[in-house]
Amino acid sequence: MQSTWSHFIGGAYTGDTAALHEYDPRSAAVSFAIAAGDAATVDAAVAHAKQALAGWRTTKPLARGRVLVAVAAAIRANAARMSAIERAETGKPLPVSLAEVEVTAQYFEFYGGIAPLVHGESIPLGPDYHSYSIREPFGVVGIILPWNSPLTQAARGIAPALAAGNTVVAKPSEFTSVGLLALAAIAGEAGLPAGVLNVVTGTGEAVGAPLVAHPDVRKVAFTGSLRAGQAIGHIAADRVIPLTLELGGKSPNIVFADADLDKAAAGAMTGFTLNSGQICVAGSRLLVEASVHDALIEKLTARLGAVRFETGDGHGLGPIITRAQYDRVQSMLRAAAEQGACALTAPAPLPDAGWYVAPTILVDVTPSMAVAREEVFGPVMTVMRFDTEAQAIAMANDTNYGLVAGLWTASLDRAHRVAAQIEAGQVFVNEFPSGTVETSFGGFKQSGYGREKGIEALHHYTQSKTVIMRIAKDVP
Amino acid sequence: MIALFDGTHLPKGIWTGTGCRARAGEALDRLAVDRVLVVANGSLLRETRLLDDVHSATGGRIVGLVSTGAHGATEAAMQYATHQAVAADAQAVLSIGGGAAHDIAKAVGLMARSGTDITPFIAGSTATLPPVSPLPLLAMPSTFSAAETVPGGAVILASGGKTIFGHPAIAPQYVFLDGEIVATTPRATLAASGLNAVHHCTEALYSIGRHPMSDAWATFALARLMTLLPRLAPGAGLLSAEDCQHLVEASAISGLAYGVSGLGVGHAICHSLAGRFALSHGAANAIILPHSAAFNLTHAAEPFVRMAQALNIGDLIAAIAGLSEALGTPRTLREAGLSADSFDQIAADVLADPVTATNPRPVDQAAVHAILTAAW
Repeated sequence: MQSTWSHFIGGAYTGDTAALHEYDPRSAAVSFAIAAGDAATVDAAVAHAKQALAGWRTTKPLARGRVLVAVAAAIRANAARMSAIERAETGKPLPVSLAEVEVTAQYFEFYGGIAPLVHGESIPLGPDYHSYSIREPFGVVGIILPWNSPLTQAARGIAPALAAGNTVVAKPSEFTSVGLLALAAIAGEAGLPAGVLNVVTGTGEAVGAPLVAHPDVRKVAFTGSLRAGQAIGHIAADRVIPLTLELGGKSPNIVFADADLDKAAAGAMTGFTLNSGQICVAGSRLLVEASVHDALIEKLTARLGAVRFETGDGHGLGPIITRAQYDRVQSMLRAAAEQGACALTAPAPLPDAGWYVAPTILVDVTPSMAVAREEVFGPVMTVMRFDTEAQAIAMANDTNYGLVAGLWTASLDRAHRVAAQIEAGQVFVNEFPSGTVETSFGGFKQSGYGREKGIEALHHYTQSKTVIMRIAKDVP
Repeated sequence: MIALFDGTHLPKGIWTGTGCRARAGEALDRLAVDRVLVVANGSLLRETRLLDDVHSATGGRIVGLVSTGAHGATEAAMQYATHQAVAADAQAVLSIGGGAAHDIAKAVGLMARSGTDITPFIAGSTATLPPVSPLPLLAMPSTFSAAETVPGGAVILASGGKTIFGHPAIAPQYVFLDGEIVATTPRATLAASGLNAVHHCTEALYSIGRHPMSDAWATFALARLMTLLPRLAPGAGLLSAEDCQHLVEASAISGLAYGVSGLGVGHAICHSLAGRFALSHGAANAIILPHSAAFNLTHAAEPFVRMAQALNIGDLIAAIAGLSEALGTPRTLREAGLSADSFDQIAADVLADPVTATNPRPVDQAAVHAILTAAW
């Protein structure tokens, strides 16, 4: 595997010196070296994106879509290599990384397919007028990405942005940049014109901030932490550019007494251990109706006992992706214990090397504890019990976040009644997590604004223009 | 006077020596156990590699892992740990840590096998204990709580307060006194729990339930604790592995002693302080120890004379107060944050606590107030 990588600008790697190291969290050893971009690199990338814009936005939507579908096919053809790269920078177990490569392809496939469907409207103003709206691209779009699912999150922003006719400068996390650098070249080989997708690597301060501040960047999509999102929001506000923020969550997973408890236990387990808890939609707060609480805990702890860490055979959980995040999870677990929480932990031995955290269910937790309120972003779930549906809804909404929520019930009435009262951008019923590339996704409250995925994301990468024309009555 | 030494509750085996935790597999073999639940102090698990050691010592027989929080042996923690034991089909419980970990393990042993909550095992709550053969326990202490050698524990109830539960078959069957585990515990925690061990000895020696066997154990343990505990004082230099080993042996023996003799009013006060007012059991004991001894002096002259002789000191109470001062543990209830209007509540708890029954001097509300006032 190629070990040093440079920016991808204007259809080619720039050959810049690789100055930053990435680490394989399975061993804590250096996996890749990448270039450390700065404002000048951002200028160059934006210039190429701007230059490529005229050709790309005037390409017929059907033809743009055809290119994106070809990119999807190329990603699938390169799945083994993409997965190996992603594993070396995230430590994801093989089935997880292969699934993410597949979803990455699906984003290009889906948005390629609907690229010609960015329709406008005609607005009836009577016989004297002809009025219609069209949806136009913004121009150059900046996309700033986190490290937890680097490929799918990149595709989630890039594919709809390109489908709508924008060109893109993407900044992946400096911990997980190589997957997107590889994808950019694969996309180029599949027919994406030079300059349409550019990738600049480096830190948030050196690359992310200048990208948001660049006068030719007309829209930014950010996925990451609340604090970084607020910082970007300030710059975007000063520049008066639209922003999409996806900032994580503290999502409730509500189990009612009439639920299928085996399925609920399986879903609760997946909800907080998938990707070792490093997903924004993690079901990190389990709320259980008191009458089935003990039965569900027994089922969950039995599943804890079956947890294994991946040791090369492809099965089991992976590590925490960055050292800093590993330290943060450990310190949150320590603080929870100091505040009185009792922990049920998967008993599997931790691998000798790497940043592994055993899945942990915290019980005896009160709503005021930090671990019940702040996003842990690790395999940690709190459990609280409720007696009534109204109490469950109040507890579910007792958070500053509002990304997703899960609910488990056999009652159709309850499912719709509760879903209607949950403050979250997605509600999953009898599955966790749920949703696909087709389903609109984004936060309520401090989980962010704007929507990704689905047809709706296309609208966030376009701005509407309304044309109003007077039709003269007099015939010449 | 005729007295029975009933040894049925005693551990079957006590390994001692630095590194003896590596022998956990042998104990599991003796018990023919393939599936063991581990209950451990949370910070111990997070800050040390002890769990790795135990994984290798038990040859992969750990099927569940519960770690305790700062609130200690709460009823909820016991319930969750029991769910995990049942779900994992555990055949034994291994506890690693201070008193809370061992007490939770004891409750799990009872609850997992009896299918009830802890209530029937709370002292005085039922006339007869339900018939139950608890899960066998193994224990590795990290403090000087002595919980690893006694057939009962304390539970912090969800309804408030702390009370005692027990069963003759619930003392850990195999105990591992490993100074290396003790050495991972912060010095201040060890100092306070060391004074708890001293308190076990003094209360065992003047208890009306005492027996020559408990006297022998308590006298030996008291002498060793009074000699070695000053090495835990701030600035006293590094504690040697040998000191840790000798101290944990002495504290375990203090538990053997009071498991026979019972305790007294001093521990009853500490149960209330820890259960209702969030003092650690160690800190509560550090404060109360000199005052429970002073309170009982007039009604236990002979034991006090023997204690002083064994230690070769004139004034035992002054020596204990001096040790407490040297160790820098909390000295007064006021500095520990207790409110003076809590005395009535504490007195009510003490009079209902079964350990008060073996106190040599009769205890009433005024007596508890007097001790608390002296400790204020």
